[in-house]
Amino acid sequence: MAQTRGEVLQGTLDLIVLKTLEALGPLHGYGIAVRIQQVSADLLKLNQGTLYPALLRLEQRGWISSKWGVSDNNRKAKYYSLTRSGRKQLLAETESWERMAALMTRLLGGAEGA
Amino acid sequence: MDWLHIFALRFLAMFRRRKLETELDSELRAHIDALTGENIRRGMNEQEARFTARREFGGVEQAKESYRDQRGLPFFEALAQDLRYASRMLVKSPGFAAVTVLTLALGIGANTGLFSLVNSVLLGNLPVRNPQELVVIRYTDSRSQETEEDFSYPMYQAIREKNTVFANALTRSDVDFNASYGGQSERAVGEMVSGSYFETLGVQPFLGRLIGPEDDRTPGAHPVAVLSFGYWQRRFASDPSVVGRDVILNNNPIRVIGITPPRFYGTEMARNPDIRVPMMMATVFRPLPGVRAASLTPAPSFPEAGIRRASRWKAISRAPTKT
Repeated sequence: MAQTRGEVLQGTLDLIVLKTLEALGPLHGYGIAVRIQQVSADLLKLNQGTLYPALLRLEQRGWISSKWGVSDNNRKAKYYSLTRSGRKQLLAETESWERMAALMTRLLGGAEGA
Repeated sequence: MDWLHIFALRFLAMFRRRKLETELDSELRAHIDALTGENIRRGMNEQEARFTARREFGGVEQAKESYRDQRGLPFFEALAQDLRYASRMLVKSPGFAAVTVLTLALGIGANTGLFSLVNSVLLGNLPVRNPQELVVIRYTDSRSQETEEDFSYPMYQAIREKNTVFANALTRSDVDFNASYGGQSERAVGEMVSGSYFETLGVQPFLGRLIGPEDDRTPGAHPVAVLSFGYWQRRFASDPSVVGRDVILNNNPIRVIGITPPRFYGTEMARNPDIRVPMMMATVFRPLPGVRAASLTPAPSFPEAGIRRASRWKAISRAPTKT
């Protein structure tokens, strides 16, 4: 294999974050980063710092909301959670992603078959 | 509406920068601390753990920078920064600043002045009823081949009475008055106007009445005057009882019969007369040389007007000229 660790595709980070928050509930930035690393089994190279501008963008769109709280080790932390319109957005993006993925699979599979 | 909402959020964020900056700081620091803690738990020493954490996190300053770009409106923030920088530099070198300000002020002033002039001379219309119907009559002297705008009074009369082209004609002439108020003399800018002047231009009085044909019949027999609005304000503090009173012009008592409207300055660009008297008073007040005729026309075609004028002109110019 030429490349094992993929860069985060433009636009997919939003979907990943939304999905993470849906699966785990309210989470701080570090929690989201850890979860992404775990799930991707380190296949995804993510500069964790880039997560924060993305979180802010999602918040500005109204898809997630944030609140200051206290973390497990008793530190102040900002918790992000999915909003209703975020849930809707997640559905829409999941759908379009699946359509795209199916298309790519068909395309690549077809190419192999020929 | 979505983008508007986002715009508003980002706009407002620019004014809470200090607080948001602190929050961002502590959020990122918590993240790095958590990463460090995790690395220590895996068995690294503190220094190594922190170093690794920073590498995993990526550039803190880059993250902050792109966070800021997302948070506010970078264009406006950069603009504000530039303005602050510019004002700091100006304060630092006040001499340069003064020269710059003065240069700009003079430049802007000169251009504004010039434009005002061009606007009123070239682009604006006379402040009268139908400015587009007015024409200025000129003729070319057959001997000197020079184009003239000055007419003798008989020439004007001939144009007014005998022409078939123009609806009406007016003429006017410059004059200077020596006005006396309570024993004090002062100069007033004057104009002698034909009885047709105001009716041809279609100007209505602001107060009283204006000079009409009945005020311009017999030489020397019409001691009446109208004041310009500006002169009335300046010299008489807008006192309406001035109308009906006499003013002394060149030692002659002249009855004020009315005030012209505020924006009316006459037909001559740069003159703006204070006092107007009937042309027939030329026997009393010596007009400055030159009488000018302008006409109100129900739009004849101009070549036609030229031909008719040419054929008639000889007769008129041969007529005895007595003013």
